[in-house]
This record gives sequence, C-alpha cells and structure tokens, in this order.
Amino acid sequence: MIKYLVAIMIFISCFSISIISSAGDQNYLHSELDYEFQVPTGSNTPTIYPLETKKKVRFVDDKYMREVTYVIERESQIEQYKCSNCHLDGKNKKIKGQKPPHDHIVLKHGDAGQFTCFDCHNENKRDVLKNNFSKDVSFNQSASLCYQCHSSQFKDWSNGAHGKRIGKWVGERVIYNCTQCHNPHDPGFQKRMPLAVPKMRGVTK
Amino acid sequence: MSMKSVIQSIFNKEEKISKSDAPLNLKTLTGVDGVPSGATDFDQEKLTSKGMSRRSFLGFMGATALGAGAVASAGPAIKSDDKELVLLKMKEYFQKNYRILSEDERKVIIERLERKAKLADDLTLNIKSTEARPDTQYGYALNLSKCRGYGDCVVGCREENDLPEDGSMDYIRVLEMDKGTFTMKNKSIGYVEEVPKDEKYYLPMQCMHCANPPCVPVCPVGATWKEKDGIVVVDYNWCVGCRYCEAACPYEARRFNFKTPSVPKEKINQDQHYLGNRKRMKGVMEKCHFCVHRTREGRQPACQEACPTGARVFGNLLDPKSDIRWILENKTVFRLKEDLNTQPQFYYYVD
Repeated sequence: MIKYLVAIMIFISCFSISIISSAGDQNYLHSELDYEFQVPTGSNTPTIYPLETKKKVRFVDDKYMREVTYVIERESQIEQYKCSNCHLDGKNKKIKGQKPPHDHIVLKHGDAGQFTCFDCHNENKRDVLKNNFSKDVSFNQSASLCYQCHSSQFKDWSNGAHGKRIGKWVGERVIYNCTQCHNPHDPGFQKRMPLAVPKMRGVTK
Repeated sequence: MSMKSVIQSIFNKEEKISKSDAPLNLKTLTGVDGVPSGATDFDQEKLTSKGMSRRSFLGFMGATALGAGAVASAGPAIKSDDKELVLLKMKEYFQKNYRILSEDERKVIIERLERKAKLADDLTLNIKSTEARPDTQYGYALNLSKCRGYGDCVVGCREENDLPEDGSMDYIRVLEMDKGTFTMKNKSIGYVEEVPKDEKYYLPMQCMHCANPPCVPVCPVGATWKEKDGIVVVDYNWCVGCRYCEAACPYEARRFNFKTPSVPKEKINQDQHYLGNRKRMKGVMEKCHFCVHRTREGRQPACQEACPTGARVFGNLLDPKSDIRWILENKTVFRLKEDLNTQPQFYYYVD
C-alpha cells in the first residue's frame, strides 16, 4: 500500500514543477537603492526616496518633540540650488536665450494674493528661507518655517500622526519634512488615477 | 506436498532474497548527494526494507522514472537535478507543523526550500525564520483623513509578497465609501476614476491581526496561529485548504489559492520568511502577515513604505514612547466591528 502512495506522490510532484515565464518590468520595492514610484503625470505626489541615498539632517527644533528627530536633506533635491549662483548681490543674472527659470511657479498657497515670494524666501540671502522674525531658515529645515502658521499640523507631525516615518519603525527616528510631500507653492494633493485596480471575487460595482 | 509446506517455501524464498541483499539506501539508488539530512520525517527504512522487496522497489522506481520522463518529454533519462528535486518534494510531504519543530529542524526545512527553489526555478532565496522580538505587540494605525485611495499600498504589497498582478489575491482592499456613512451598501472596490472623488472617502482594509482572532480556533489542523508579537500567520505546508478560516474572518482578510501562483521569475522577492511571503502552493490559505520578514528586523511594512500620503503608521503597542501610542492616546480612534470582540490591532483615526 505504501509503495502505491509514494508512487502517486512522485507523480504529483513531477506534474507540479511550475513553469515560470519571464516579463520585463522593474521592481521598485525589492532593490533598496534605486526604487521610485511611477506616478502618473500631472500629479504632485512625491516619489519615494530610499534612505540610503539621501542624507539625513537633525531637525533644529526637535526640542519641542518627544525624541531626537532627523529629516531628509532637501538642498540636494532642488534642481537649481545654490540660488546664489544666479542671484548675486541683489541682482538677478540673466542668461541670453534662456527663459526665466521660475516662470512656471504659480503661487496657490493660501488665498489668492495673500502671499508673495518674500514672505518665505529671503530677499537678501537667497540660499536660505526666512521666518516671520526675519531669522534664517535652511531649506533642509522647512518645518520650522511652516509651523508658524500650521501649528496643529506640526503637533501631529512631531508626534507621528501626520507625515511619514521612513527607514525603521524602531530606533532612530527619521521622518519626511513638509516639502517632501507638499509642494510649498501648491501644497494640496492633486487628484490622480489609482495605481491599483483590484479585481476581487464577489465584488459588484 | 501439502498446502502448508508450499506456503512455507514461498515465505522462505522471500526471506532469502531480503536477507541476501543488504538493506537498500535510497540515496545511492537515486544518486543524490548533498541532500540536507537530519530530522526529517521521511523514513527510508519503511520505504525500502520493510513492506517491500528489492525487486518490487526497483520496479516502482523504474515506473516512476518512465512516468517522469514522459511528462518532461525532454529525453530518455532524467537529470540528476530532477531526481533531487523529486526527492526534496517528497520529503516536504512528510514535514511536521512548523510550531513544534526545533531550531535545527527549522533550519533543515528552510535549507530544503532554498535548495528546491534553486533547482526548480534557479532562484537564490534567503528564507528567514526570525523569531518574534521580545516585548512587542505590533499595531497599525491608519489616518482616514489622509487616505486618498491612490492604491499605492496595494501595489506595494503585491510587489513585496509576490501576489498576481491582476489583483485577484490582494491582501489590501481599498473600499470607496459615501461620505458621512458607514454602511457597506454603496461601497465600491473596483473604482477606476480619478481619486479622491469629492463625495467619497476611502477605507483600506486588510488583516486586523486581532488579539482574539476568530480564524485561529476554527482551523481543524492548527495550521494558523497567533505569534508572540501578535502576527497571525499560516504554515502553508500544514494547511489543508478547508477554508474554515476564510469563513470565520469577519473582515474578509484571508485569500485562497485556487490555482498555483505564477509570478515572473524577475519579480520574485528574494527576501522571504517561512511564515511570510515564501512561495505558496495551490490549495492553501494566505493572508497579510504584517511583512513579517521586514518588521521583525525593524523595517516598516511594504504598505507603509509605499503610501504617498503618510496615512499609515506602524509600531509597537507596548512601547509607551512610540508614535502609535501617541495616536491612540490623543486622536479619535476606532476599530472595525468592535462588537464582535475580535479586538483588532488595526486602528483607524481621523485628524
């Protein structure tokens, strides 16, 4: 009896050798170093940056927080940084044959006409921002500028209920800064197509 | 010659045959070397020397070889790799429940799985058997004010756990619900328009990893259980596929493999856990396992990492300094179907 059983099992296992076909599409979650989200155009949702390739900097105002907090360094992600390459001594360098580089920016922050550029940007030192007390704020530390108005969001962000923690859930606390997710000139999230269209049994539309 | 003596002589003959030949060794017969031996259930003695003579055993092996050759239709003989694979698969049938195995036994079955993947699919896997961290109860908090139904978490989970791309087995489902209501009447899952819609809110659902899970006691074979850190897991090798747990779960969090999962080789996640995202078979249950291969090493689950709005928070409920504890203490928090006393560890909160 046992020999028949074993013979049947061997047959089953021979049949069950699965044939795996190949298809080319990159896998973004598996490689630690270079994954990116394919976000449809017209969206301002952020791409996901791996922790290894981005530097972290300590958040300057983490004395208001429960534990030591790091944020992702921002300056290297700004395309035209450093700003003082063009904005020198209160004058704007113009390159012939090139369109003004900031023309695409439309300020949709707050009510129409409520803000101007120099409410946040430092007119004299273009490489940094400035807060309401005309103190310099680094581009890396944008949260300490934003919380002047958005205090309730800052409270949630500093305690983990707003924003996103990256890396590990335990140990060193590294979180996204405000500008990692929100475009400061247009902070709202845009509508876009869902990435996944699930197909489930027994689901009626 | 009487009937009795005839029978006796036949028995004596058989005895002679079995005595003259030394007990057979399956390894030498099949030409397999380097198979992880040790604490496996496969009993060579039973198969060879006891209920079977040498002749009949050889005959049955020959028939098997013929059958396998016909299936593969590759050539007249089987390669030694194929023989080893068949043997490994056979040993897997006699494996014990993962919970009662010692550490060495677990090592053996995991080595076998890795070798099997190498032979069958040419994959170099890293299957872990990481134990639960001490003083840890995993919890999940999801901000319903922030979720916009983009579905990135669904795709992240799919990639991480080698789920089919058509979405038929997704662990996470994002329900599109009417604002201001909490009924399942007008829910929609297969939405394809731009999100978020103005009149809708989005409610992602997955396994709640209940403190009092109704799916665990109904299992007739004990193939699913709650780990010490609160994760409800399935031993896919021990599962018989009766689907009682699927019926018992009030959140519809469990998925059944109606067919053999087939994922392209390039897409298979090589970072695996025995209780997590290793290869599932046809006819077994599977479910969200809080990315056990990631979270037990301190990393975030894949859905949290994929979420573009930061609506998902993962953490340790026993750590009073953790983010999730602050949320539970300071936010408006609720759980789904609390009246069933399942005590889910998956919390929803609003700003």
